[in-house]
Amino acid sequence: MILNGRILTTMVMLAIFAGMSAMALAYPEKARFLPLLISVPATLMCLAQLVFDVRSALQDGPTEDSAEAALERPREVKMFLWLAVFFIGVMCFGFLIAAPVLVFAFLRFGEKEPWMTAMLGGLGAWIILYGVFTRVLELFLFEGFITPLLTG
Amino acid sequence: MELDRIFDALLTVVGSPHLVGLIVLAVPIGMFFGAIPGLGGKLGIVLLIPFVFGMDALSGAVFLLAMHAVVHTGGSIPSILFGVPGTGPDAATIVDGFPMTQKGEAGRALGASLGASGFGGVIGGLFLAAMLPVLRPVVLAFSPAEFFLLAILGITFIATLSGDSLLKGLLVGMFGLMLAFVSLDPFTGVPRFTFGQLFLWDGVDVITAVLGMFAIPEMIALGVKGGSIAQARKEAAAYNLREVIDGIFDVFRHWALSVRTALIGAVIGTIPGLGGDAASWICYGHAVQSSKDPSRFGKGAVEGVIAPETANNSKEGGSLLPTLFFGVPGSSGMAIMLGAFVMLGIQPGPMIAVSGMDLVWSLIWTLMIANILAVFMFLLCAPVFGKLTYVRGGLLIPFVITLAFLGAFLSHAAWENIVLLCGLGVLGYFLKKYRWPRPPFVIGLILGSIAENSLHKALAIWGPGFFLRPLSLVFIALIFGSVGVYFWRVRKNGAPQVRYDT
Repeated sequence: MILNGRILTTMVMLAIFAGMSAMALAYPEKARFLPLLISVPATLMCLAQLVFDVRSALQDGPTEDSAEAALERPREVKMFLWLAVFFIGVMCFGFLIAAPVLVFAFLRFGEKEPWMTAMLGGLGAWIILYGVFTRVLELFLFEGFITPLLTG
Repeated sequence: MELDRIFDALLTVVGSPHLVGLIVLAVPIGMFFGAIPGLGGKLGIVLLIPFVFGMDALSGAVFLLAMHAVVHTGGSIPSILFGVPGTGPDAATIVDGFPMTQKGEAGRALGASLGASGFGGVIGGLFLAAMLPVLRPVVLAFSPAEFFLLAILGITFIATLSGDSLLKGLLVGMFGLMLAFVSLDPFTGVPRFTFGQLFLWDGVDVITAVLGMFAIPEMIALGVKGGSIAQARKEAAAYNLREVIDGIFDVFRHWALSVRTALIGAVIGTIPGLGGDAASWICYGHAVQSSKDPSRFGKGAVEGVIAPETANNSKEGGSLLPTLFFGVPGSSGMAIMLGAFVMLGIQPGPMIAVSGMDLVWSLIWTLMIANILAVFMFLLCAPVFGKLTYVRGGLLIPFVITLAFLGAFLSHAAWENIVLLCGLGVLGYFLKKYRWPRPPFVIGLILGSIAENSLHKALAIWGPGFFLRPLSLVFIALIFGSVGVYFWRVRKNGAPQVRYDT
């Protein structure tokens, strides 16, 4: 199977440039001039890169890299899931609530740190966010979409 | 007598315990704002403005300028130790600073950054002083045509920054350029690539994009790899103050590069709109281009730390020129500083050359004193900062992700930036994994809108003939020279084997 991460990355870049080229066509002449000047050659260059990647994959076959990638995959999935959890947590409950809880959760359940370390981490995050950013710097921190509904 | 005025200003600053106290207070605050990703000097000035209400004009200006002058000195700390830029312009320091940390040379990298920042800050102040007599004709000579060509000159550095894959480097640079076009078109008012999202009407936020391309991928990679940020064995990479001082001396061992990049940074600082990001990346590109062995870059070359750091601090001196004398901010940070000056009762503009030179000289001295003071403060703390790199990655990841989220949100108080951050972070991780060099992305993003705006203005004023203006011809020669040098090197040595692991 030649469809590997390297080729998929190039395909994503190709899709971005091709999509932006297509979108730029709909703009007025002055607005599309420079975007098209960049995106059309970039699309063609991405196609060339894709050809190089496919040829390389066909010639090399399964490599040590792909074996290493298979080993890394579960850890990658875990990190992407944590990123998603952080994102959803902050979007729903905002920084002041979600971040300390997520720092604690990541340290305790993601990294298997001792309870005390994880709790200190969560507490430290809350002190920085509330103490420094909210109280001292008086910055408005995003409250999330659910917290305001709960607190009225 | 001008000399009397210059030294009277120095005595005014150092002879006043009140002003010295304000500088001593401002320096660690500035370093803090620089060291926390996403805060930066602009936010620092905004947050400190309430504190200068009630101060006299000189005290307020000295306090804010001292804080702003050392932001990049602090910004290099997370760039070198964690691969996370404290501020946008510090992203260039990551390229070689972080690999030095991974090799166990954190102390030397911090020392080089520290020395370069102090050196750059002093040169920036001296440049500002030296330029005062010739200021007006130089700055007024720049038109949109020169802005456009200067931006193109910066973009040609993409080729130099592309490492062992020119094609991938160019593509990532072009991606940065395309993201620079995301906004309302400045001429037709048509929203371009905004997907109906209001937060994109002002363009893609640079801090969010840099955090997405660098901070998130680094944290994902750290989580995948496990262990600490420093890959070397702890005992082998442990360092002491001597290593930090050795790093400082690196700045003087590469004195020619230090002087050149400090001057380039100061000159770029004088040109409104180009900003610190352009200064640091252009100087990094210059360091690669002028090196006898470009293959060392991206793997922990100390020159790769020195060049952007001297430029970062020297450009503050340069950017003060148009800010004070024309009321045209030399950088986005200076735009906020301009507002603060007006609030303090200082009226920037040509009249300052007549009635405000005492203040100008006091600010020049403040700039230099703050940078020198930052060296000593940093020196006291550097060994502690370096030890942080041996903290287990797992302990750092949630804090850095939280700070990255926070930085993205705070930069425009827009939650949508967090979505953008995550999207760019995931893409950035795969670009990192499959060795697409990411530095060209930033240079494309920074210079794209400058190039577009200037091109349209130049065409409207002169038509296609703007290329034939004398200053334009100088820039065109520099552009061709830059590209020519790259291809000459490729022909002579093969493609530079620079690999950007950060």
